Parts: sequence; structure tokens; C-alpha cells
Amino acid sequence: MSTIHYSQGFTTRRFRHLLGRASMYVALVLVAIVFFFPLYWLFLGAFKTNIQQQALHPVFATFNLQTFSTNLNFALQNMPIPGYQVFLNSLVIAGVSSIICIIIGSLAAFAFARFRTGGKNLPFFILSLRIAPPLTVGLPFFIVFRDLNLIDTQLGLILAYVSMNMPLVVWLLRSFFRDSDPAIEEAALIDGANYLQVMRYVTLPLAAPALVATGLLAFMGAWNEFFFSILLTRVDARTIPSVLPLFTPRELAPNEPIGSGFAVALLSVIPVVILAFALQRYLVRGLSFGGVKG
Amino acid sequence: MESPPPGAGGGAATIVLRRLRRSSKTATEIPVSARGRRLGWRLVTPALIVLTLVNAVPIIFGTVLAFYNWDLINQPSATFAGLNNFVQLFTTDTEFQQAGVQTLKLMGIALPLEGLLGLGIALLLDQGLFGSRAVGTLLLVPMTISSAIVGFLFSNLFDQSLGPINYLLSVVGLPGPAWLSSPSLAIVSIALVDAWQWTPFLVLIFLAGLRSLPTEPGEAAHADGANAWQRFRHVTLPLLAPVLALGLLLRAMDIFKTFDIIYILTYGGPGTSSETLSFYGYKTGFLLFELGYGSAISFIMVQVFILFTVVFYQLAKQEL
Repeated sequence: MSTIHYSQGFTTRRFRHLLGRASMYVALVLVAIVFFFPLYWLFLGAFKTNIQQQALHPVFATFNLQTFSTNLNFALQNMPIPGYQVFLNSLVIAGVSSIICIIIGSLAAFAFARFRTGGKNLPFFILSLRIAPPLTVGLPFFIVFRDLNLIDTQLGLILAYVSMNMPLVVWLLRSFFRDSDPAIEEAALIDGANYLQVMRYVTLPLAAPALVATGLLAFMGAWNEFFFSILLTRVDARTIPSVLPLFTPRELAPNEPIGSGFAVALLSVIPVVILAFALQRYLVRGLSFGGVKG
Repeated sequence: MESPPPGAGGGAATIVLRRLRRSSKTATEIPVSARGRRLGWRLVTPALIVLTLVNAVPIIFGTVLAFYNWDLINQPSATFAGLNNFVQLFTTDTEFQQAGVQTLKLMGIALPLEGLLGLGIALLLDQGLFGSRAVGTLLLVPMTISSAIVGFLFSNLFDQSLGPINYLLSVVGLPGPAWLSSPSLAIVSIALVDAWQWTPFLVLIFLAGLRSLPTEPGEAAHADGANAWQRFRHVTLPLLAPVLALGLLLRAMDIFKTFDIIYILTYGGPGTSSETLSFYGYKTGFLLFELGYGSAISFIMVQVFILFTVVFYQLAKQEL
């Protein structure tokens, strides 16, 4: 093999390497555009007037706070109940249901992890309750709630979201408790503390970050939930996702601002996106039922 | 240079994989005293009571209802129907059969799309390119947004005459299709929206999988002269297979019950062309108030989910 031959091979390889790198960057930019553009469009829509919304050449950049507040005000005033009440419903229902899940779920999760209560099968049975399609629980809920006058109440939706989130919360907290080191607890036990004291003063404080993260995941799930909300509420207990269909273009009169739905959507997205960034580490675990440790 | 025979390095990979699997069990096994056992059951009780009331009882109630006729509009109470609901579903109800086909079609389009894109993007983000961390963070956003909002957003993006997607197509000279109002395209559009929202989930799962792979088999194959494609095909892919299967299964379960996006994007239309099993079940149960019939549909769906759950248990056993 001559030297010249070798150096030619070397430059082609180098060239191909550079070409490969360059095409990877092109792909990366494409990925970023495809996943970012719809989000940008959501943001943009909240700031558009109807003329901009219906322009034949779509408007790709605008920012006008005045238009935003017009859009938002229209939406808030044209909800079945006062707009702030819808946001309040979302907050109360998601908040109360996740707190219930965390309090009751953490006790069970601790027992599953430390005392192996119910072996391996009971925890998995609980998880499998979560996997069932919402329709399966939704129909019976609807029938029973009609008799109990729980349709269109905050309590009714709270029960539905406890049902939705409890299995996941128990499951995730079990895996967090199991991963934590039992040595500190054993030391406390040897020092004469009983199990309840150990849990109260050692385990739960140490698990606080996991409890908060799991609670926030449950909160996000309930805040975003749509199916139970349209099923079990009519007017008074509506949450943000279930009022949104009222503001799709086909529901609006021609002179009503199309941006109104965008403004409500944007306002409800901002808190969950902030939560998502804060919870990055736990997110994959939560969404995959702990089957994949993120 | 002579290319190495296919499978070079594959042997090493299998051995490492087997060793990994064997050592993955590191449970903290402390002996549990009788007091601990009693306390355990007391701690579990509140959760079991709540789960029984809000999960188990509704599911049992729904299962029983599947064998009854209960038309809320015309009948004050349910009458026993035996297997009639199921016979009707599978023999005369063409809308149900169509919904089944549409559900399979949705999975058939969305699942491979999300799987291939997810794997491709995960591999891309694993190359250590400048900016890939930022893109990874950006990818978190779609799946944290309410699917109601995603549906709302895409009904605007897909608008035939005013939407930006068709505008961009017209700029490059392509005709913009009727994404949502064409019977054959509606289900494809729903699959695309699902792919936008949930491909990032697979990217994150696959990326976590890629990063937890041992580096030795790849290096060994490299030393043996395997090129990048051969290393991917015969080393990375087999090692990643369990993670791939788990991720795709989780997506399959979710796509199977897709409802929100359909409700907002097409409402099952045009006509009944984009109705899936979930949507048809909702329609019979809550719009036509045939509670027994709707329960029969959800009963059938549950049977599919039991199958999914069994597979999930097998795949994720080591992690559980």
C-alpha cells in the first residue's frame, strides 16, 4: 500500500466524517423545527387578531399585548361560568385529588416497599387498575354519580381523579421507597423507635422530594385531563380542558376572536411546562409507570 | 478492506446482556417481623378501601352491565340480556366493526411512525452534537400539554385553507389536502398528531436505554472492524430490544384508547370515518345513552388491555 494511496483514503474518510456530522446537524435542526413550530403557533395564536388569523398568507410573527388581553377577556367572559371560576375549579380539583393520593398512597407504598405486604402481585394488581381504558370506569361513574347527585360537582371530579392517579402514585412511591437505603431506618429501630416513629421522623422527611414530585405528576395529570371532565361536569365544575372545545373556530361566530381559545390554552399550558422542566428527572418514570427509570 | 461477517461482536453483546440481566436483581431483603407484617396491612388498608370504591367497584359494575340492556332514555331500569350485546356487536353492528378497523389503522400508522422516529431521534441526540441537550428539553413540552389543547392547536394547524401547514405545502408547490374533512385522511391526521405529541416520550425512553447500555460490546465490534451500521444492527439494536419493546407497548396501550384528540379534531367524522373503539363506546354510552351496549364495548376493550398488561408484566418484570 503506497503512501499516496493511504493519504487519499484518509482525506475521503475525513470528508465523509464531516459530511456525516453536517447531515446530523441538519436533522437536529429539522427535529427542533417540527416539534417547536406547533408550540410557537399556540403562542402566536393568542396574540393574533381575526384579520391576522384569517390572512391568506399566514402571519408568522406578531406580538401585541392589547390583542392578547382582548382575546383572553372574550374567552373569560364567554365561558358557561365566570372564567376565573374555571381556573379555580382546575386548581382545586387537581390539587385536592393529588393531595389525597399522596397521603393515602404513601402509607400503602411504604408498606409495600418495607414489609412486602401483599407480595409482588398486589402492587402490580393495583397498577393494572390504572391501565384500564377510562371508558371502563367512566360509564359506571356516570350512572352512580347521577343517583348521588355528584354530576357537575368538584367532589365528583375529585373522586374520578383519585381513581385515575392513586394506582400510579402508589406504584411510583413504592419504587422510590424501595430504592432508598433502609440502613438509616434500621439504625433508628435499633435505637428503640417503633415503625410509626421511624416512618414519621425518618422515612417521610427523606422521601419528601419524591413525594412532592409524584404529587406534582398527579397534579399535572388531573390538570390536563379531558375525558372525565366532559363526562362528569356540565357547567359549574368545568375545568380548563373541557371548556376549550367551546372556542374552536367552528363554534365561534364570525366576528368573535379566534385567538380567545389560544389565550386560554396558553395560560393553562404555562404552569405545566414550568412543572415539567422542574420534574424532568421524574417525568419519564411517571409516564412509563416506572417501567423505565429515567 | 474485507468487511467482517455479519454478527461480528453480536456474540459478545449477547453474553454481556445475559450477564446484565442476571445481576439486575438487587432488592433490599430485610426480614419482616410479625409486627411489621400487621402494621403493613394497616398502612395499606386506606388505599385498598379507596381503590375498591373508586376503581374496583366501577369496573365490576361495568362488567356486569355489559350483559344487560339499559337504554336510559326509554327504560327506567336494566333488563338482563345475556350475550345479546356481544352477538349484536360482532354480527350486525357494522359501525362497531368499522371502529375496530379504524383503531387498528390508527395503531398501524402511529406505532411504526413513532417507533422509527423515536429511535432515529434518540440515536441523533446520543451523538453529543452541540444543542442536542436543548432539543431534548424542548421535546419534553408536547407530552406535558393537555391532549385537549393539542387537539385544539392542530385543528388550527391542519385547517385546509387558512392553516400554516397547507400554506407551507403551497410554497413548495404541493397541493394542501383536506387533512380533517377527508374520510380517508382524517385517521392519518390523528396519527400524525399523536406522533407529534408522543414520539418525544419514546425518544426519552430510548435515550435512557441507550445511555444505560454497556460500551464494551460496541468497542469490541469496532476493534473487529465492524462499521457503524453493522455495530448498530448487530450490537446496539439487540441490546436495546427490551427497552424498544417496552416503549412501543406503552404507546400501543395509549393509542388503543385515544379519545381526546379525536373528540376535538374530528368528533369521529367526517361521518363515522374516524371513530375508534373508545369514541364509539363514548357515543353509544353517553350520546345515545345505551348504557349496557356501551359497557359491552368497554368490556371488549378491557379484554384487550388484560392482554397488554400480561405482556407488560413479562417485559418489565426485572424492573418491577
